[in-house]
Amino acid sequence: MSPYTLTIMIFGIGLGTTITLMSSHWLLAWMGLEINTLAMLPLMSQHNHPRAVQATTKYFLTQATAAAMLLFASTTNAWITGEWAIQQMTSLIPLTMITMPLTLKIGLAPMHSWLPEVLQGLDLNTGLIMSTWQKLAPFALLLQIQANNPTLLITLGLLSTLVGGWGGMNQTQLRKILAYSSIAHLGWMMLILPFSPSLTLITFITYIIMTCSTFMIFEINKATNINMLATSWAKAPTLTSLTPLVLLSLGGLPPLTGFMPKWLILQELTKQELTTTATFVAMTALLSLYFYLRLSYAMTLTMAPNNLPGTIPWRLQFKSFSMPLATTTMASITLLPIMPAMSTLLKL
Amino acid sequence: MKLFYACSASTCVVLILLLLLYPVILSFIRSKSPKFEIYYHSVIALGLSFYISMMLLLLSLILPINMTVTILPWTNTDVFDMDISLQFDLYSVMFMPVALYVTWQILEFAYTYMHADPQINRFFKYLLIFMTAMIIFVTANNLLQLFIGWEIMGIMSFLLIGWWHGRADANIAALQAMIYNRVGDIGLIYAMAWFAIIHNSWDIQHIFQLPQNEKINLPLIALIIAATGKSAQFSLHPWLPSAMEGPTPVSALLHSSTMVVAGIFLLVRMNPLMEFNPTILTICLCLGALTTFFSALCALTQNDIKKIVAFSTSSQLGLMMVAIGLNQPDLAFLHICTHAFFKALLFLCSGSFIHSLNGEQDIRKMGGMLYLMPITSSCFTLSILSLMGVPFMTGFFSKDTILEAMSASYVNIWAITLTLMATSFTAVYSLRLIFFVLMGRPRTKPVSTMNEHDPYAIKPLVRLAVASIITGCLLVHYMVPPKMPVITMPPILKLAALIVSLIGFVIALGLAFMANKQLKPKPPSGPHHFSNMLGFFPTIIHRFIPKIILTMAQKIASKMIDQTWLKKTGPKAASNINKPLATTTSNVQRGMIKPYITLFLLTLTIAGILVYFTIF
Amino acid sequence: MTYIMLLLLMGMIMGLVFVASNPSPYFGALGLVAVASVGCGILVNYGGSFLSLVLFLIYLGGMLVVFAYSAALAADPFPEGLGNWFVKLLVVVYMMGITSFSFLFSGKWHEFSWVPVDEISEFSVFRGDVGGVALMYSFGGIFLIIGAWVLLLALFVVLELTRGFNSGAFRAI
Repeated sequence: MSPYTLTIMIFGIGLGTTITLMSSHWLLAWMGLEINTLAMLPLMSQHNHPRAVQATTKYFLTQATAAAMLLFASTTNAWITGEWAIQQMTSLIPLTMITMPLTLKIGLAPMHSWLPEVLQGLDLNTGLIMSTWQKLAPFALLLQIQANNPTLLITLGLLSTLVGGWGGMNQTQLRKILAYSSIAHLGWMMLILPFSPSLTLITFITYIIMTCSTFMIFEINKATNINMLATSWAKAPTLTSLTPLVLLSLGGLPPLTGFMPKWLILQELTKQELTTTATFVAMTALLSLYFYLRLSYAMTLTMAPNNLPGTIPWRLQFKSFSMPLATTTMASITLLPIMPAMSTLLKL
Repeated sequence: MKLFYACSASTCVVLILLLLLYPVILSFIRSKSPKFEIYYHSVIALGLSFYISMMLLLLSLILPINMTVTILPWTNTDVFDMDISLQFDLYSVMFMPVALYVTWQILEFAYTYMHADPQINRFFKYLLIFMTAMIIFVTANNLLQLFIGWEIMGIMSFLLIGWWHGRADANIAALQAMIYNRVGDIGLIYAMAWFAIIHNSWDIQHIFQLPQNEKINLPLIALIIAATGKSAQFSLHPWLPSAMEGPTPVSALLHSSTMVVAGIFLLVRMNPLMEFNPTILTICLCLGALTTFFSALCALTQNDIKKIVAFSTSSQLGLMMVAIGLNQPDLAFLHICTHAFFKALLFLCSGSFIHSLNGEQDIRKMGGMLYLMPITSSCFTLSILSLMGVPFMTGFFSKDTILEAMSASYVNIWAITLTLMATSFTAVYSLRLIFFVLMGRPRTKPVSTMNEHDPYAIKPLVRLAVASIITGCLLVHYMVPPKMPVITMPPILKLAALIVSLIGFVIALGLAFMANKQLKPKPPSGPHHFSNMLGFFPTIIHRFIPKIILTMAQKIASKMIDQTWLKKTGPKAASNINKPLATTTSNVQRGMIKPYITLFLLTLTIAGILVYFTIF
Repeated sequence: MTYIMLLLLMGMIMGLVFVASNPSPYFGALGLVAVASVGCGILVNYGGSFLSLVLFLIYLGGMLVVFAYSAALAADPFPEGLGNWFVKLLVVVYMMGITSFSFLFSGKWHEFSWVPVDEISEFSVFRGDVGGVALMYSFGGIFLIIGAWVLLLALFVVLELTRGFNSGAFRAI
C-alpha cells in the first residue's frame, strides 16, 4: 500500500471515530461509523493473502449489517418520536434496535462470532487497531444512550463473559484468545453500563491499556500461537518475565491494574443488590483466568527446546520502537494504587 | 536427726545421679574418647553408686523414717506449684541398691557381649541414661518427676530395642515397644490431668489425702492402664517378647530391674489410693492372673530361648499384679526385688549361651551345654530354680508368700486357679529349658570354640548367682511389712504352690522322656498352635485391626474425601462441565458469515419481542 | 390513491421477499430492480418526487451494473426461480413472518406511516423535498462535504481493494 493511501486510510479511521464521538445526531454518528468501517478495509487486506481478504469480507459484511440496522433503527426512532438526537431516545423499541447493532459492532455475545475469525486473519498491528480503536466509536454511542434496558444489557454481558471464557479455553491461537478476551471484557463493561457508565469507561480504558500491551508484546515476539510464545525467553527475557503480569492483569488478579475494574464492578453490582449476578460474573472470570494462566505458563514457566543459535537473539540490539510498549506494560501492571483518583475523576 | 537423714539421703541420690550421668556428660565435653572409655567409667560409676545406695539403705535401717524432701521449687503458678522433691521410704531406698547392683553386673557383662560393636560407647551411655531415669522414677515424690522418669525409660527402651536398627525385626520391635508404651502413657497422662484438675496437686502425699469415693475409680483405672502398658500385662503385652530383638544385656536390664517393673512400681506407690477399693483390686487381680497364666501358656511351646525367658518375665509380672490385687503391695515390691536378681542372671546366662553359639537362639539346636560351659550352666540352673520358687532360693521368699496370701484369701477362685496353673507351667517350661539347653548331647556345629576364660563374662554371673541365693532371705528379714501377711493356714494351702510346681515338674519330666520314645510322628495339635502362636493375639491385634483401620482410611479419607469430594466434585466436575460448553462455543465458529448474521437477527428479534411485551 | 399506495407497498414487500428467499442471482437482481422502482413510486406518493427521480436514476444505473455483473459472473445453466421448492418454502416462511409482525404492530404504526407529505401541505410554503434540497445546501453544507468525502473515500477504498492484477484483494485465484 502506498504511503499516500495509507495516510488517507488512517486519517479516515481517525475521522470516522472522531465524527461519531462528537456527533449528537444519529445520522452523523452513522456516517462516522461508515467512514470508519470503509477506511479500515484496505488496512485489513493490505497483506493480500486469502485469510486477510476473507477477514476483510467478514468484517465488511457484519459492519455493513450493523450500520444498516443502526440507520433503520434511528430512522424509526425519528419517525416515532421526531427526534434525531442521540441522548434523547425515549421509545424503547428503537432503543433496543439500536443497542443490538452497536453490540454487534463491538462484538458482544451472541453477536461475537465474527470477531475471533476476523482477528485471526489480521496481523498483530492491525489486530491491535481492530480490538481497541475500532471499538471506540460504537462504544461511545452505547455510553451516550440513556435509559438503557438493564435486563438486556446484563444478559448480553453475562453471555459475553461466559462465551469469552469458554471460547478461549479451546484455542491455541493467540489472536483468537485475545478476541475472546476482548469479548469477555466487553461483557463486564455491558454488565455495569446501566448502573454506572463512568465505571464502564474505566473498564474500557484499562482494557485498552492492557490489550495494547499484550498485542505489542506478541508483536515483538512475533508470536501467533502458544508454541511460538514458548521461545520468547530467548528474544526478550525481561519482557518474558513481565508478560505473565500483564496477562494476569487481563485476568484481573489483585495487585495488578486489571483488578481495579473488576473490583469496582463487583462492588457496584453488590450495591445494586445484584449479588447473584456479581457472584456469577466473578466465577466466569475464572474461565478467562484459565487461559491467561495457560499463556503465562507456556511463556514463562516452560523452557522450550531450542538449538544453540536460537538462544542468542536477546544479545542483539533491540530495534523496535519500544516506548508505547513500556508505557502500556507498566500501566497495566501498576495502576491499581491510583484507583481512587481514577474513579473520582471519572465520576465528575 | 531428721534433718541429718534428709540431708544425707538427698545428697546420696544427687550423688548417684551425678555419678551415673558423669560418663554421659564426659562424652559431651570430649569430642573423641577411646573405644572402651565410657565402658570403664560406667562400670566404676555404677559400682560407686551401688555402694552409696547401700549406705543410704543402711542409714534407713538405723533410722526407719519415711520422709519426703523438697529440694527446690521448679515452677509456680498462682494455683499450682511444682517442686523437685524426693521420697525416701522403704520402696525407693530398698529398690535403688537392688537395681544398681543388677545393672552393674549387666553392664560389666555387656563388655563381652558388645565388644565388637562400633557404637559401644553410645550403647553404655544409653544404658546409663536408662538407669538414671529409673532412679528418678523411683525416688520421685510427685507425678511430674515420675512422669519424666517414665517417659525417658520409654524413649530409651525404644532406642535400645532398636539398637540393631539395620534389621527390620528390631525396628518393628522397637516401634511396638514405643506404641504399646504410648497407650500406657495415655493412662498416666489422664491420671495426672485428673489429679491436677480435681485435686490441684501432683504431690503424691497430697494425692493420698483424697477422699475415697466412686469418682477416684477413673484415675485409678487410668493408672492400671499405664501399668498394663509399661509392665506388659495382658492386652498390651506383645511388645515384651518382641523386645527380645534387642541385644541381650538390654533385655536383661529391661526385664529385671527397670522398665517393666516400673508399671508395677507405680501401682505399689499408688496403693494407698486403692487399698479400700474392691473394684480396682479385683481388676488388678484378674488382670494379673490372666497375664501370668497366658504368658506361662505361651512360654510352653516357644523354641527361642530368649522368648521363653521373656514370657517367664511376663508371667512373673502378672504374679506381681496379682499381689497388688490381693492388696499386698509389699509382697509385690518384694517380688520385684527378688525377681530382678534371678531374671538378670537368667538373661545373662542365656546371652552367654547365645554368644558362645554364635548367635544361635533356638533351644533345639543347643544341648549339652552342661559339659561345655559348666559355670554358666550352673548359674543358669540356679536362676531357674529360683524362678520356680524352690524353697530357700531367692524367688521362694516372694513367690511363695504371694501364692500363700492368695490361697488363704477369699478372693476370686478363678484368678487363684489361673495363678496356680501358671505356677505349674513355670515348672514345665523351666524344665524344658534345662532339658533342651543343658542336658543331652550337643546339637551344635561340630567345631566348638566356646570357653569360659573371660572374667568379664563369668564374674557378673557368679555375683548374680550368689545374690539369687541369698538376697531373698536378707530382703525378707529387712522388710517389715506394714500389712500383716497370713501366717497360719492348713498345710495343704501352705504347700499348694510347691505341690503344683512339683506336679508340673514331674509331668514335664515324663513328657520330656517320652519325646525320645515317640513311636509315630503326630502333627501339632490345636492347643499347641494356640500356645506357639502366642494365642493368636499379635495376629489379631497387629494385623486385623490395622487392616480395618487402613481399609477405612482408604475408603473414607482416600476414596470418599479425596477422590470423590475433593476431586470428582471439584476440579474434575469443573472440567467436565466446562469442556462440552467450551467445545460448543468453539463449534459456533465455522467460518461462515451467514449464521453469524442470522444470529444477530435472531437476537434482535428476540430482544425486540421481549421489549415489546414488556412495554405493551 | 390509497389503493395505489397499498399496491406499491405490497409490491415492495413481495419484491423484498423474493430477493430474500434466495433465488439465483439473475432473478435476485431482477427483484432488486423491481423493489427499487416500487420504492421510488412510494417516495413519489409520499411527496418526494424530486428525490424519487434522482434515486430512480441512480438506482437504475447502479442496478444495471450489478445486474450485468452478477449475470456475467454467475452464469448459471439451471437458474433457480420461484419454481424451485426451496425458494417457495422460504417465500412462504417470510410471508408468514411478515404477516405475524404486521399483526403484532397493527393499529400502532399505520397512523404514522400512511400520512403522505402533501396532505399537510396547507401549512407549508414549499413542497417537502424542494425545501429539503435548499436546506441541504445551506445548513447541511458540512454534511454535504462529509458526504462527498465519504464517497471519495469509498472510491479510494474500492480502488485500493481491487488494485493490481496479481496482488489485489479480489483477484481470481
